[in-house]
Amino acid sequence: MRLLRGLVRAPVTHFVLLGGALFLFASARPAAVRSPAPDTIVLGADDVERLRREWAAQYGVPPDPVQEHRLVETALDEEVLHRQALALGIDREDPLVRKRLVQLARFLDAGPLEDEDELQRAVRALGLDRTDLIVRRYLVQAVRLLAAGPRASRLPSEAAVAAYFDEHRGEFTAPPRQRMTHVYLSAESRGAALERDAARLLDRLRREGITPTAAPSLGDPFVRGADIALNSDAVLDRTFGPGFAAAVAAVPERSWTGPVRSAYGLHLVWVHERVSARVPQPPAVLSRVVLRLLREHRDARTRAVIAGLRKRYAIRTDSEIPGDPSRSPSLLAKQADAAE
Amino acid sequence: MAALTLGAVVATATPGPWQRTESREPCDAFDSLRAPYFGDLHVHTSFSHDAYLWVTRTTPADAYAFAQGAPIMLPDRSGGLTRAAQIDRPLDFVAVTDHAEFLGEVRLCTTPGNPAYDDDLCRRLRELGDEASEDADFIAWGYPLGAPGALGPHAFCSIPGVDCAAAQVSVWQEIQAAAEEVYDRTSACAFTTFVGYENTAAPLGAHLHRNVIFRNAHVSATPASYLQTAADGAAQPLWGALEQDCLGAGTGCDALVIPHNSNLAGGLKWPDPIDAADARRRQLREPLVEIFQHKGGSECRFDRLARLGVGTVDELCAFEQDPRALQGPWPFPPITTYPRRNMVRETLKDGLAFEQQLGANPFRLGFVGSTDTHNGTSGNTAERGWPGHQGYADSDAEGQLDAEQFDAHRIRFNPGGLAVAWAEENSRDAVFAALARRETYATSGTRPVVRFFAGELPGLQCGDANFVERAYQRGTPMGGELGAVRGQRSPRFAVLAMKDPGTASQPGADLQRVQIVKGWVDADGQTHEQVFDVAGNAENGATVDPVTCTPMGSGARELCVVWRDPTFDAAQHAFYYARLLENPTCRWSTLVCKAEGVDPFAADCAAQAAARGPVFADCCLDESNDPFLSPAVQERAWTSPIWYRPDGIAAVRGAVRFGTTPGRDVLRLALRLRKFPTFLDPTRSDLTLRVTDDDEIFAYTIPAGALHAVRDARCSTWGGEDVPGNVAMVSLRICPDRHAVLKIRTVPTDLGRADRSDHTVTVSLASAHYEVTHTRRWHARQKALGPLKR
Repeated sequence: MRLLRGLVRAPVTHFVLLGGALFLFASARPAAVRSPAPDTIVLGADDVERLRREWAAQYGVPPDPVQEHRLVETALDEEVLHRQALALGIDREDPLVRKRLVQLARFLDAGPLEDEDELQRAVRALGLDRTDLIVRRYLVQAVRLLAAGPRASRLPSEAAVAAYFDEHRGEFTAPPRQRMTHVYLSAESRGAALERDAARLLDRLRREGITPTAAPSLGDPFVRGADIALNSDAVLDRTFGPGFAAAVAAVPERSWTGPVRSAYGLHLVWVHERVSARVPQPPAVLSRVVLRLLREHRDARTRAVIAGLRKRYAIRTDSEIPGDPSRSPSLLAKQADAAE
Repeated sequence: MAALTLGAVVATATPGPWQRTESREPCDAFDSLRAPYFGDLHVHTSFSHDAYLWVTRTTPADAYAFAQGAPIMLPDRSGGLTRAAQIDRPLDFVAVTDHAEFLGEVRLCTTPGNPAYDDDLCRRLRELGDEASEDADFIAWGYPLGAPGALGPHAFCSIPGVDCAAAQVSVWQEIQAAAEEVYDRTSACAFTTFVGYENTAAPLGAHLHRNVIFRNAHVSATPASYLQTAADGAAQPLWGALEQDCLGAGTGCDALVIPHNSNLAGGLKWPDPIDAADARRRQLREPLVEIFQHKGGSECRFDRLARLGVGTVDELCAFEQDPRALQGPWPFPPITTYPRRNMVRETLKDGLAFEQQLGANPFRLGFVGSTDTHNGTSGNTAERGWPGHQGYADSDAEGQLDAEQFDAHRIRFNPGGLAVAWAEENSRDAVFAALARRETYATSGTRPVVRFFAGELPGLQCGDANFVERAYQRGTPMGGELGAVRGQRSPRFAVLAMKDPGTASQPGADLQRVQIVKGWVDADGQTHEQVFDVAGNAENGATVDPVTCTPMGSGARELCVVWRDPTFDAAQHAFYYARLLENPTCRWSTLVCKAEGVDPFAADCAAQAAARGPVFADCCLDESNDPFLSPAVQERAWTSPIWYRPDGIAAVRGAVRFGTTPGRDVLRLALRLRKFPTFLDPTRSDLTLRVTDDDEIFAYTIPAGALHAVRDARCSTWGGEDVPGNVAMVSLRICPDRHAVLKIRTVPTDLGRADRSDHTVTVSLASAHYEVTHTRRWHARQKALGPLKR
């Protein structure tokens, strides 16, 4: 596949190369090795229940097993990132964190202390630097940014692009579509006679073999016209009203059928052709594929960094984490041993 | 893959009356009579400094994904990304238009490790602050855009090792990449993106912002930010930057400028043109205005309590008005001193006066709506369940009703509107061409479908099944130039409108009525307006149930009318636009207030508000105590105007006759003008005639003095049969009453660029800043192509 020949000329190339060359990421702070023994992260039943409740409050239904697994994984990732932030000392040095803690201290009315350092220490003594949600979110975000790493300055290989396209065909595939002509009968102008008019006209179209070219002039003007070019079900529903596509879905091709109801009235429909879901030719989607691939590489790098950080911790729970049998307590103990 | 051949499905590219400037598969869904495509041309993401301050963390990729139906995470009041939002119906096209100012700075401030990261201003950007610091942070970041003499990059850009300019270029690359990544270049044409940005001129609070939309992937090397264009927000430097970096760059770049929020511009959005050339330049660079968006409507203004309007008595102009005239915590101006040119309708009227005076209309503005969301939630205009547009600041009821903000009483804001383009297909070229020729309409957030035409339209009736095709053949669509008429009789105006079909869970509201808004200028240069009800029923008694907010009473699913102007005067420059009104529905604020236990419809609303909390006082604003706000509103659509010019082309007769062999085609044309401009003297001015569809079919400039004058009994005729070029004969006859006929016949020549199918063709006549056009759907016969005969 001669994808990449086109790629070098494609606009996408200069996004990547210039983006990488112009904007170099300065070296991150080196990860400090704190102690040889891995820390433990405990995820209690209370924690999982709290996640479930927050989800339900947002969406109105409890999370299904897949969603719950993802919730738990996200919570674990955040904990890992938070600890990494602490390990890097971001919490101690960062002025924003200081400011927030001083704010907390004043809010809590930490007594006669006025000096900001004193206030901070008092709040830290209470452990609020670890539990305050805003501080925590800030620290997690800072480490996540560090984990994303510098931007790519090389294009992916031809083979990688081709493989990605093959694997993700579905996302680039056009949905099934149909092309149709319709004769419109307006509820507004026909009133009570609408159903009768539709039945009569349908009968006439069939009896006299009237073609789709001639037929629309026997109906009423439709603001979108009579010929509806290749369009998906979603577009049909947006044009005629919800349910229209479903009503047309089973209609036989190349004959007059109906009447089909829309938000506006009744329609006599002639489906010219149906086109099944179609995978596009690579050149038309080339730049999209490459850009998507580059973005996924960046996301993968972030995940890899986080996964690497996770390895340093043993995850312990006092109940099964749903959706992931590898997280049962007995297995976790084995993992912890293996990680050491 | 189905064996169903691609060959049957993928047609060769059919011509629209616009150039194809990019390589892509032609769209399967091509309709030469055009289809309505719904979009949002004003979207901000975390790349914009103000959105970032509001804790928006979405990227352009997220904004495009949202527009296609994907959920997005928004911040709550404490700054956590815990709220999910999703659009009810995908959009067809979107432009992410982040502020060009500080694009680089925002990136540097949010990337750990670079020297600017620890600068105080950067910390303040990232700080998940409290309410007290919010205003201060906004001022600290935004003051260069508003304070006189302060315009320039932020101080930390001077730190050694910090390169704000390079970062800006890098972010601009990403913006382009994000648009490219989801632009559907396959024949499915499911989704179109446009690269764009916002130039955010805001001197002393005057909202002089303008968005730039690029046609294709060839864009300026950097966005022209206000830091660069300066000039106290005058638009000319922005046009100059685009003319240099884009339009004149020879790269295939094309762009247009869309101003918005003239309602907050202190009367400065549209200053008088410097001269005729400046008027013409503005007409070319700014074909559209974003007439409705989150920060209010700019069509027109009427104060219900004072019973006075800005140049109007149209009570429907109380709709979605921000009481201020400028951004900032200034007192509300009384209606009597409100700046006229904050309102688009007044500006359109003034444009007619300038056209009469200078020969060019600087304010020839078509209409689009958009959101101006700072959440990345493109097109999220539903009143029900609206999550706000300003990140954590309006993330809950208290935030959405806050009346003590630096910026405004937030209850005055709304979810915004949509831009609708009548285009042959959903591709960049087709939709951009629709924007450029102004064949667009704005909605206040819903999706009714409306067509508007003007012209001879002989015999056109609302029952005609081929209404639309006949209208394109014998008239001009919205946004176009009607030209002149030959006699005194009013041209005909046709409106065909259909209600928003809605979704399964949220049906669209019925239509109440259609109006036509007319503006004109008289011989003394005074402007006037009148609003005509032309279809539907204002007294249909439709309302909302005060308890459930369910619409009560019925309206129309569709409305159609063909109308003549009873006040028509053929000598007067005029514009006409159609305004479509839905039946009333509950405003977003009514739904929010009710959910909080404060019912705007209740007699004891004030007591409920007092019990609930001081921030809920605004819930009780209504017709009895507020000049503008209503708990129930009528969503609406505004078509781009159609302009009548007595000095325009009244009729075009003739045709292209194709020869039996290529290169032997002949064009015969006769143009009738009603009022040939007095400042145009063929002995002293060049006159250029052009015939164009997607290509230039024919163009000819009659050089000044090339025609010989012949005076007959009454009229002056200039004729020439030995004129240069591929023309056999050209004549121009001007009579004392200024009626004129221009006739031209070419020698057998190559006119093969004219497509041999029914399609739209434009004939234009131009000299310096004066240009008049005549656009119709021409009919192709076996050997000829031309406008339909009478």
